[in-house]
Amino acid sequence: MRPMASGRLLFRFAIGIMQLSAQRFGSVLRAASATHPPVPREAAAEARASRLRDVAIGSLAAIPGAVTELRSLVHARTLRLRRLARRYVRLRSDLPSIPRGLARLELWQARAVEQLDRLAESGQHEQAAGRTLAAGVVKRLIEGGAHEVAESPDLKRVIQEQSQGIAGAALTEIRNRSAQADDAAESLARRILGIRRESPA
Amino acid sequence: MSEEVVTAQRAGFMSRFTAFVLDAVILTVALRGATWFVVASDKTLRGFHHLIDPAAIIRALVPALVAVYLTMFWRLFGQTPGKWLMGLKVVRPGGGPLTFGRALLRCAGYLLSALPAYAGFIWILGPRRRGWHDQIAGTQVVYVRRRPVEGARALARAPSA
Repeated sequence: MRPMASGRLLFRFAIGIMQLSAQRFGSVLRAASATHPPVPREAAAEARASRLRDVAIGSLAAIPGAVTELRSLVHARTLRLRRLARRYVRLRSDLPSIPRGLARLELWQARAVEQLDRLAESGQHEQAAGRTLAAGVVKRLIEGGAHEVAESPDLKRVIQEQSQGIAGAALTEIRNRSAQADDAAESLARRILGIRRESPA
Repeated sequence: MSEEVVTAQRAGFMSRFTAFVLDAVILTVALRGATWFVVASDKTLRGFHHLIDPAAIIRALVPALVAVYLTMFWRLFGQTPGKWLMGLKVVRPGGGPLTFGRALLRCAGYLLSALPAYAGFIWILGPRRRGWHDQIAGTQVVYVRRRPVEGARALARAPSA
């Protein structure tokens, strides 16, 4: 099997990452938007400074709808044109160039549809491959990162120093308390037995 | 970073008793574990001719094993694990380490201290903080305390950038 070019792999990875992100964070975003109700229009309208941004975002959001409308409009117009052309051909069927032109138009249309189908199929394949690639790479990156952090000598040194510091402090506390208990026990014994005080050193 | 420094102050009864209890726990766990291992091995190999009871041998060896534990730790490190945990060290009156003979004598002194109802240990409560075994072996038990090393202190004094 021939190795894939880096640019193609990067493209595939980018598609996969986008799709995975959309899948994984989509539910989180939906939940967040459900818990935070949208700001009322009146309040949003008052923010004049952000009006340009709102317009830009609104335009971007309207693109899919506009494209659909444009498509249906074009479809309707071309349909009318084709009807007119057919009627004209029926009337002037003796002219050979027009049916030939129409046949060529239909051939181009069929080719275009075929090409679009191929592109769509290729796109679906790219998306599936991208998702698989991105999932594998993200997993490897996370594992690699975790391994890198776990094996980091600096982190190990910090943890060791912290542990030693905590253990050492606990040990020192126990030793100091036991030394105080020594003095208390001696003081009690002296009082019971009536022994005079003397420096232990 | 810190280092352990031997002080000149003799340790009192409670610290030493706690260290003794810790050593007793360590010895008990070790000997019980060894006994379990030997008995389990014996049961596994029971098909062979059974002449001796290995658990009985270990039980018989307990005093000798305890003596070896104490003597070797005092000779090699000046402290048993229990004494290390409590920050204690057995030294000669001048502060030097124990010889093997002195460590052995101290171990024997334990027996003498224990014989009259542990009266020899009560002497630790006295002003000199020395039991009979200390006086017999010419030893003393002193505190060991942690103090920061020079490099760490210099680092702590250095102005931050």
